[in-house]
Amino acid sequence: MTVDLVRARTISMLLGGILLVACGVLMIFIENLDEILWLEIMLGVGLFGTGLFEYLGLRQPLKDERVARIGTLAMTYSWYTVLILVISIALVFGMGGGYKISMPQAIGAILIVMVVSTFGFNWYVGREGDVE
Amino acid sequence: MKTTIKEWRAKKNMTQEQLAEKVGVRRETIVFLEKGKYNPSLRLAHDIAVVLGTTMDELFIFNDEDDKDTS
Repeated sequence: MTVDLVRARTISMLLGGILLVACGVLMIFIENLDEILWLEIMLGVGLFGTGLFEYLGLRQPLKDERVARIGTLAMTYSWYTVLILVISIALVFGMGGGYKISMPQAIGAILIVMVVSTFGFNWYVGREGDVE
Repeated sequence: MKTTIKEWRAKKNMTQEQLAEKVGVRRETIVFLEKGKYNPSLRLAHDIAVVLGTTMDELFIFNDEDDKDTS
């Protein structure tokens, strides 16, 4: 039962993450944010967010203090990375530079960095075994 | 930090999976604990000690360098 729930959480996060990255790539290249893409993003956020909620150990029986600790640190680093990205986008493209990006492109880049950095930091810290 | 969890677990003829299930963590957490790579919470350390029928002092051994870090 517990193993199945852990697998369900992992699959949920992976599917949501893949969907969000795919949406991000589409948004960067087609510069569009139509209703279908919005629905896909909502679905991706739902899958990714639900899996993440389980992942951080907020619900039993998946609660594992080490996983929660690592996940929390990974999310903190990920949030900081996204913050740096948003500030960079604002500075580079919003200060009267020669090249402008559209709103879908900015959101697409944020989606990709958010998902990739979450998985990346989680993998890196998890490999060490502990956050210290 | 060194642990004697593996030895106590062997004495109890218990697998990592069984110990993990009894204390409510994932098997990987027990693996990292036995390698001394994870500092558990007081609650988890206590639960493991209870399940293995020993004390926390017997399970977790800190060397001098670790003691300096926590002082």
